[in-house]
Amino acid sequence: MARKPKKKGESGAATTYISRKQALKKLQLSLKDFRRLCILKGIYPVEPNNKKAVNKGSSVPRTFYYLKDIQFLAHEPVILKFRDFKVFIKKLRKAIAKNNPDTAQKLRNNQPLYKLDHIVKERYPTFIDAIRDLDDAISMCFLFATFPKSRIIHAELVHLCKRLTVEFMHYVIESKSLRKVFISIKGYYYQAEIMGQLVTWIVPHPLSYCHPSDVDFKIMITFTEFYTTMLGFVNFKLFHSINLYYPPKLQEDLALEDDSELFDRDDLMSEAVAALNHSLKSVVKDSEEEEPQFDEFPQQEDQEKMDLAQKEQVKIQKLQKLFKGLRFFLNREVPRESLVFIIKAFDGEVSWDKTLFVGATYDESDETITHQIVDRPNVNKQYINRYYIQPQWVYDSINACMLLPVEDYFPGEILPPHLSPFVEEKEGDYIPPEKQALLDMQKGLKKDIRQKQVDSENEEEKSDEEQNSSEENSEVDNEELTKPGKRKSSSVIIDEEAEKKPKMTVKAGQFEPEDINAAERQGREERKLVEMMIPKKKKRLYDKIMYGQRRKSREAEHLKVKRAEFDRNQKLEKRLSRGK
Amino acid sequence: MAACAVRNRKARVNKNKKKSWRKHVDIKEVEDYLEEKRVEEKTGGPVSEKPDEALFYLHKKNNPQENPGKEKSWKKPLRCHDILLPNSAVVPPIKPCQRRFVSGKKNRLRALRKASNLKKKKKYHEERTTKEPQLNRQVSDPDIWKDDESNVKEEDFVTYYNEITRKRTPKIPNHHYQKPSLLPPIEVPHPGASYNPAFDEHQELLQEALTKEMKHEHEDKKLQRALKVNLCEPEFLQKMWLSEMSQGLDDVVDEPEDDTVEEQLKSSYIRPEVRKTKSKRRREKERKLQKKKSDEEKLKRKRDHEVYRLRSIKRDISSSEEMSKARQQRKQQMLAGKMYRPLRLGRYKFQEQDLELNLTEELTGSLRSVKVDGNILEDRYKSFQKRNIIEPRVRQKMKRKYKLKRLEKRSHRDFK
Repeated sequence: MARKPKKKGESGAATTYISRKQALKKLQLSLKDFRRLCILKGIYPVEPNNKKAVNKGSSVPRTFYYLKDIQFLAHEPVILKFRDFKVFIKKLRKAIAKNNPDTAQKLRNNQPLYKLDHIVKERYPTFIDAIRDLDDAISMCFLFATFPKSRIIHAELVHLCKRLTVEFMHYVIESKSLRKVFISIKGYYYQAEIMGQLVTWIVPHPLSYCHPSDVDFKIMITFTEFYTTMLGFVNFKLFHSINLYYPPKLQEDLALEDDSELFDRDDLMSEAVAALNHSLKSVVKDSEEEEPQFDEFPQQEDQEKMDLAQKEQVKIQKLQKLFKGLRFFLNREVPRESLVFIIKAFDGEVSWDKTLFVGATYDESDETITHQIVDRPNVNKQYINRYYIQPQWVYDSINACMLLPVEDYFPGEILPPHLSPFVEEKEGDYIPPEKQALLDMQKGLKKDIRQKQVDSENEEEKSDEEQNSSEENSEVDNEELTKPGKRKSSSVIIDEEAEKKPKMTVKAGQFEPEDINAAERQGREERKLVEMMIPKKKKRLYDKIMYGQRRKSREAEHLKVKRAEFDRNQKLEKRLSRGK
Repeated sequence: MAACAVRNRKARVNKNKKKSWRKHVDIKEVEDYLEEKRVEEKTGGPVSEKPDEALFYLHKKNNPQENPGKEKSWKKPLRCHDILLPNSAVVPPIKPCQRRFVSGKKNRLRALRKASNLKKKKKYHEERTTKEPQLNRQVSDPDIWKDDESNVKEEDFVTYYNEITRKRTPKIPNHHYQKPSLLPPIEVPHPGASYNPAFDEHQELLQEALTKEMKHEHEDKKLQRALKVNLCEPEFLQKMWLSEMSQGLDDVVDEPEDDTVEEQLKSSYIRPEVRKTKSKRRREKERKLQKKKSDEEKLKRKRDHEVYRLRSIKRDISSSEEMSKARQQRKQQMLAGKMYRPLRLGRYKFQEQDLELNLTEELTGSLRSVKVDGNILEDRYKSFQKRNIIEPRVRQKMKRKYKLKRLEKRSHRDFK
């Protein structure tokens, strides 16, 4: 049997893709509605590999979608709602033009609205899928909660976003899942661990709204609409997973002060919930929290991994009780919402001035306050038995997983730098000295950065010999560090150096280099022998790897030299200023 | 005198005498007025000073006793309608409106139908009045992931039924569950972008920004160099002028002689009359056959000797395999790389946004006086574009089909 002749443009790439204009025609929608539908349903444009074949020979850049996607879109019931809305607009316009205010009002009362619940279920068939996409949703909701109402952004949307974000923060507080915080110039970054997934989001600084000129607001509002729906369901599920009522109810009923005619009870309760300071009512009564014990598995491979996991678990449990027993008071000029959130998330107690916001539990004059957070350079200190600190102390303590010494953060002091917790340095990378000091502190050494600086200054002033010896020490250790490929040995050296730093005497300096050198030399020789045995084919690859590592260490050296110079200059300036 | 008498019908009256006062003066109006005044005094004062109750009274109740006769008359049927009434006293045996053979069942059915119609109407009206547009939509089942834990597989016919009655969406294509890009939705910021950064990290960030700026500058300079034209030099201008002015002059070509043309023409049109003879054809055929045979033999010989070329053949095959493998790997890497970069999805290319950083002078050590750089809304918008979720868009300027005409009013123009 003869086959029908194959024609060009009938099968293959030309029929799997469809251009946007054709899609509009097929679905009978306007461009605005089509874009909205694509955003809601999660249909994204694609770039085909062979654009010319799909575009029928021309190379005009066009937007393409999968034909299957558009066919799938055609079954969506929300399209009918779009068409109803178009009809509604026509009727409304006619009623207004003909001066029928009653008809117009009736029409507005029966405005057609669309629901997105089935779309959420379709896009996220399981709960964990929704948690994976939570980053975007939460950031958008936090962002829109700070917007003013305008012609395009409705007040209801802003209030809805605010309510959802408050509920999510309550969940994070109750489940103690916050792990990392970072303040950047763009906003506050938070990272929490929810159901095993790491969720990162950004919250803008509490400053006034500035309107960007080249952002399409309609698109962002469509995204937010979908994300608010999704977040509502996610919140419900999260709250039920830790046995809390949803919508959240407070554990104790608040006493109404003054006039109850001035405000609604509901408003007061919602404001109190938004204050994040009160605990929520639980579905399960009399629940005593027991610390979850680590399961012991007998005869499991990778005993090291198990140990590591156990250590991690202990660390996280310690972190969750970081601020237990501490009572904070926030001054007026510090960012209240962010600080309340993170302090409550780590088991601390916090309050603020009564006139600022609803929900303040204790006054400034309370005797049991342990820390007061101020941001002004000079504070007329009134109370003796509390520390006055700058807000960075809280953030840095959380990132360091321990309570840092308070002396560095007194008001008026130059703060130590706020390091990013998201940076994970591998060995051989350059670690700035501040971070090094932090790591040392975490390992349990009693010295902190300032103490080290004072020490070094004292050394300079007292005797140069000691300094020389310590410098020699550090130089030798630096050499060891920059030798490539000796991971284990270099870590040993770092530990040794760290331990020996307190004993900076001439004797120790004389003894050490010889001891290490002998063992080192043997190790190096053995390594060279092994290297010679590598076959030629693999030697090239090995050389490339080595080259890369050596380059990295060279860059680290370079940065260290730069930093040393900077420090030297700083010291010189200090000396000069003091000399004056 | 007679004319005068006729004209003067009315006798001239002398009003000065007492006699004429009594006889010829009309005092009717005065008398009337006085009479009125007397009547007013008799009835209790002038009308304008009388209270409202003395002048008017409110007729509140419809007193039927007022006109008893009139009430009855309007209840009676009209006389003109008498023609419609039966004019005989004989009663008709069958009433014309009643139906024949009415069964109780039908009556009952009809009654039920009416009742259900009423119910439907009521429900319809209820729904219409109680519909309230509300943004915090209350869902029947707020836990949409409840089925996750049950893990019950639906039977085939149930799924088929759901699909036919449109209770279930059609099959979702598999690529919907793959993300369009593997870039993280919230990118971790550079440590130098902290509000109080460490010296080294801040320097690194500044260095990055510097390299970017240098790259831009370099490109700009390259463009400038390529487009550099020394328009100020007069020689250059002269040359350009000369070349422009002599544009059409170079097309003049020498005409060839006529003879050669004719000869050429002749040779191209005239075909030599040559016919092949039979023997020639036969010989050609033989030669062809021979050639074919020798070719076949050659090929066979080649094939036989290829056994000795095995090793080099193997080498060729392995090298071509390697090349194809390398090509495949490269293609795979390219496809994988597609997931990590912004694709060209529309008319405009993706424009990266500038790095957010604070210069050394702008760094203040306190959170209260931090200088904020970078708009989160813009960042989110760009992030969507980077992750291939929406295509890059540019705000459209208004394009006018015809240029706007601006005219001055004549009155304004002639104003001096």
